[in-house]
Amino acid sequence: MKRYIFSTDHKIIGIQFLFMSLLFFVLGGLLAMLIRWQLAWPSDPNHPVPILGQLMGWSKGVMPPDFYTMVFSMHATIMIFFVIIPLLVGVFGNYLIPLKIGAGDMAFPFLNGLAFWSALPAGSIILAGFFRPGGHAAAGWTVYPPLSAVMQNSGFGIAGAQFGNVLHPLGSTWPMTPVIMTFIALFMFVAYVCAYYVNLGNKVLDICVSVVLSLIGGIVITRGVQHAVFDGQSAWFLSITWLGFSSLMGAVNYLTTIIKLRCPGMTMFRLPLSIWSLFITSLLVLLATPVLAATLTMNLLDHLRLTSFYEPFNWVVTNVPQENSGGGFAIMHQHMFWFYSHPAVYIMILPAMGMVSDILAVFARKPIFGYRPMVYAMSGIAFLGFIVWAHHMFQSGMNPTLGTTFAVSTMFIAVPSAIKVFNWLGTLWGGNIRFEVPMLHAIAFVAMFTIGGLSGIFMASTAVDVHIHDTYFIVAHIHYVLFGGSMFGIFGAITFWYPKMFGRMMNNALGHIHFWLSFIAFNCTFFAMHILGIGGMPRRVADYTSYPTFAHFQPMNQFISMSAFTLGAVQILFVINFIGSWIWGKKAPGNPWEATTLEWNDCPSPPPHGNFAKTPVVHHGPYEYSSPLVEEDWLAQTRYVEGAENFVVKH
Amino acid sequence: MQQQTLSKHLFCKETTQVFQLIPLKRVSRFILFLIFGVLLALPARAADVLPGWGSWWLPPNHSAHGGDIDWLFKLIFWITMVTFVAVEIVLVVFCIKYRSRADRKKAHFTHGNTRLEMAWTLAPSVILAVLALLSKKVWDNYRYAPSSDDPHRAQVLVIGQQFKWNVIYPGPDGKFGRYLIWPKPTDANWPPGPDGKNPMFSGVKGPADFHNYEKARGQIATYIDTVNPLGKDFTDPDGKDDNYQGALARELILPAHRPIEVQLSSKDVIHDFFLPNFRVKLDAVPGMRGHIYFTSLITSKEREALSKKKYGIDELTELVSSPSKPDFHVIVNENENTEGAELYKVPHTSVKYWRYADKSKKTIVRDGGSISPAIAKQLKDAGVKEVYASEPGVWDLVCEELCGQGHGTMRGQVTFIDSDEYDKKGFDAQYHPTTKPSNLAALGAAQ
Repeated sequence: MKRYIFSTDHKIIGIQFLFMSLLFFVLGGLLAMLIRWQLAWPSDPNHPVPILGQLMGWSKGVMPPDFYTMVFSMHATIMIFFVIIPLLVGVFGNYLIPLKIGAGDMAFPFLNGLAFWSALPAGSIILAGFFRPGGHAAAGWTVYPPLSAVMQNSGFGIAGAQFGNVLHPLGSTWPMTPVIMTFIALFMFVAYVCAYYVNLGNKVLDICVSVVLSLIGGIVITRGVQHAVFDGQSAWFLSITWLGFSSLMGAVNYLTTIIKLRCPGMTMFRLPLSIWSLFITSLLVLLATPVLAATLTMNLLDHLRLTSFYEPFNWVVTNVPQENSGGGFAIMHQHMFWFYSHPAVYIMILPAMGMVSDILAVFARKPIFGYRPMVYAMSGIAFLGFIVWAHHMFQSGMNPTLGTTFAVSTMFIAVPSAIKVFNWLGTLWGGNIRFEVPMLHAIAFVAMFTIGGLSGIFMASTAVDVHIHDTYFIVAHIHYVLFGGSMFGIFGAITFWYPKMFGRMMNNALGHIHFWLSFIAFNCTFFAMHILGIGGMPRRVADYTSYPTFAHFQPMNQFISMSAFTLGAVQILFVINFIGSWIWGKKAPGNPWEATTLEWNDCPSPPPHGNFAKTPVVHHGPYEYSSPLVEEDWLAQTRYVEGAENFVVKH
Repeated sequence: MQQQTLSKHLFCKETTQVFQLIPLKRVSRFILFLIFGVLLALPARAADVLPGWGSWWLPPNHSAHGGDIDWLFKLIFWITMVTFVAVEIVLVVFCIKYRSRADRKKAHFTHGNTRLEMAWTLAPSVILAVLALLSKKVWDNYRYAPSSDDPHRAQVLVIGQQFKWNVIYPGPDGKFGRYLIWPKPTDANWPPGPDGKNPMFSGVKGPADFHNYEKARGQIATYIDTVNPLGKDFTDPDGKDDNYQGALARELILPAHRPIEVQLSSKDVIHDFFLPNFRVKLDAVPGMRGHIYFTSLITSKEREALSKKKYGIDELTELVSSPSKPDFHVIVNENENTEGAELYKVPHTSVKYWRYADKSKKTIVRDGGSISPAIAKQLKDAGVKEVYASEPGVWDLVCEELCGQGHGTMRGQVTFIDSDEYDKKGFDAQYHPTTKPSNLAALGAAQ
């Protein structure tokens, strides 16, 4: 029990995070399919939404616009907060940091487990939102007030509430499915704490007391959640704030671990770039997330109509004067939200950059080109990431001169990104490249991130942003960064560390097919969106054909939707490969990729609890591939070779 | 028992072999076919569903400042395009050239090159700095337009509301009154009406008389709905002559060839005022007043005249049946008298108009009417061979900020009329241009 479920082992927690976020990935992907269905045939009775259209009892199976609004809001929320961030920071932060720095576990193992067990209730609350009678949050993932302060969508509606009503006791205003879900998550949360802190000297007594405490805790907190979460939007606020605590626990842990628990000889500049990136990401999380928590708490209070932080004086909705309006400023929320969410964009890409750097070096059999500049570039991105937030707000009505200020800082954040791309190219140059599946994903990352980065320059220019702000150009850009960038990085990382995590090799052929099909379908889907954006097609509009200016985009949208369906279907191959290899895969050797870092050389696959049989001692940097000092084309970090410590070759 | 057999099958040697032995070499050709199949099938499928791929570039620009924005867009487009192509080519070339081969045992061992690092740090910095400066110039010229203090600029106040645009003109004095001021449940009196007196509403002197907070709120909503939907302050002298009647959800009419100031605000949530063809975009935020300036280079009539073309009836049918559903208006008058059109006098009245009629003398379409596929078919049946048609002289006003469930329906329309005509409507202080604005021919040349 303590070993596999309530474990404090960083590897188990990492894998728990992996399964949680992959499940959410499936959900977010299905929501994306719904979005694409609506955009291919906007409210077209000849193309009713399959399955869901009947299930929801929509007239002629056509998706209502408010449901569409809910779907894209939740697609973004789930993908950002429950897939990309947990996958990068939760999974690989947990799994890699101790292994790569030569530590037995995290600095605070209990806190680490708590981070996962508190992410789970956040996930269940966000799912509960779907079953609220008003439907889930429908104010976009950016939850701009005053829209997010009013409850007005009908989203899932009554049908959704009935969905969840499997067990419906008398007098309950909630459908039971979300209640049970939330209760189980909270029960586990309290049980985890009890498992470590209830120590009465008798095992049976311990277990009984723990169960009772968890039951009470679970019920009490669930009741509290039921009170606070009176509609989808409040579920959203509560869940994301809650998840913020989980992120903070993780970040504190990672920082402490990297600073304090490095093995002998592992100096900061001998850390692999993936660890550097997670270090910098954790700093971002630590500094930015409290701001998000503050923003969303204020938002939640506004939504509950207790305060008016963001609502102006003299404010009506559907002509009804609103309680507690006055004194607030709607744009304040945007400033505070983006003060978190812009660094969050880098939280969502920096770890992928770090892991891709590792993968590129391993399979190009070359040291990283310009290791220190890479570290400085990431630090530069992190620093600049904090002073560019208002570029999301050029057209929001804030002072235009302020816009220019942020345009300048935004332009300059492209410089460290460019340095990184050039350094990756430099790493490939003169290499001895092995095209394994992780390498393909890593190369795709470089190629796609380049597109995502370059399209960002358009938005950085205040003047050009006038035309493309809030159009599909933005959608194309963010998907090139987050799917083309982060997701390919994550696929690369999963396929790369899968042998270490599960002790089995992934199927090579399936991996190749999955990669190529994903790569092509991805580009067909998202590159065309640039063209829609240049044409001015607005995002978040359920039926663009009602505007004569944009009606001609329907064939293009159908093409995009076909590609998106293909992209979604191809991920089934990944699932098959993931589960299949776990059961039937070849047993993995300790170091299948001939890599130099600690996790491959000093422990078996999968590593046991405690990781290393004896504390490793590091003698040189992490990327000594093709070193002339040894016979093989790789020199493990722990292998001592005379003269390798400071052996630097500059071209 | 069953589970045992299942797990037996799951973990048996044969299954493992089948899974492990999906041979890459043999599969690779199959993959290639699959990839090309998908590559070809997808566009073919999409193209098969509906013909026509729409425009792939910026929509036509009709504003004075928009040219600069488009120019900057194209500059960034080409800079990024060159970088993009260069990076991807280098990436592909490196992947091919430096692929692992049997005769190469080791890669080139190097940790970097400081000079190269400096070069590729400085080069993008310089380019990006130049872009930042250029965009500052264009941006300032747009947001701090020189025309912003032009006393003859046409002003209009646009108030967003779920889910429509309300339009108010300042009237002859060129000044707006106060708007968006609502009664509160605790007020002793209803706000004064146009006659300066506090009216009775719902049988009471003011919302406070209900002695019930919820009821007062409900009655205030009715009051706003029926009496004062935009919260106008009738005591404000500046607002006395505002063009306020019919402000709700009306078409935005603006003068062309003359600076325009749009003031923006919102009743409820954040909306966004976006004119794609004029490169104008700004959020309408409740509690704030946004200002945005632009000049249209074209009137609606000019657009109609410019796009006027003679279409064969088959060509027109195909056009209007295409997925892009372009809007076409029929033009029939004494100048363009095409075969089959007639001047129709409505019996017993003085009303007359040009029209196309079918054999039973029923009107198919009048002058200025829009053409649907059904109408095009009727025209063909009536024996019409050629039709003069033009694009409509209205532009979309798009709400670009998510504003609730009806967000997608929050569409407005903009018409640009001649400045003199605009003056006659009394929307604004009179405008006396010293020079006649550019004429149609000049505009045609500019395009």
